[in-house]
Amino acid sequence: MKKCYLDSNVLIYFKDDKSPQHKEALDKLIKLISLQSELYISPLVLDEFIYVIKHLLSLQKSKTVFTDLEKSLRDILDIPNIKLINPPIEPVKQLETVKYMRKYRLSARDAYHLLIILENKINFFFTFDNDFKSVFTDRIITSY
Amino acid sequence: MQQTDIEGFTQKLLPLTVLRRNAGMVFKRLSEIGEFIVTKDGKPIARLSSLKISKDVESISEKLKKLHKLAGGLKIKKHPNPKDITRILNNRHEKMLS
Repeated sequence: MKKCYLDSNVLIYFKDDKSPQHKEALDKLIKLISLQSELYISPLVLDEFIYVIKHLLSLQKSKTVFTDLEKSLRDILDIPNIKLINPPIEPVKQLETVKYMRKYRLSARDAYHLLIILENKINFFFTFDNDFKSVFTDRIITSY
Repeated sequence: MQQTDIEGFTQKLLPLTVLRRNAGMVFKRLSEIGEFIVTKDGKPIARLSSLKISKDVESISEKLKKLHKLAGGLKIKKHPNPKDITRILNNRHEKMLS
């Protein structure tokens, strides 16, 4: 069974049906669910999703920012097979993020995503972010 | 084959005489195990499957229907590319630090 971590950009494109990336996001989610895969997100993913959606809604001076935001959040939490996972709580494990930042030239945020993925023994990562290229090249996780 | 696989397989073997004499118990366990391989004189002769399997197939189609309902619907005019999303998130961090 595939275990796949979803990046916030996947969730944004899943909800933004006018985006050029929407079809790919939806098609790959269909494939994952058809294969009975387990989908994972973390509070860090949710934080990014909420911030970006709120930012985009605020730019257009929408009067229903929080209503739209709440609906979008409910929808992604309702995606079949999706589960919330957390980073490790051991202090020593937090140091791994710096190792990943140095080794793969990741931002602190992305290094934290990687820590969550590896600590939860997830083997696939679905993202539209090219910053993880060196991580995929090193084959510690597989790009979906 | 691993030890656990062998145990799982052995659990599924069901002699025909046991099926005849304990049909009630067999069908109760069938819903837990999923399927039995019916044997006669130690040889496999038939497969007895729970309808739960077809329910699972149905649930995938239900899940996909649900996924389609949940997709889209976000009323935004600007559609960021992946780099824009990273930029929005990085700017937030810079704002917090300044």
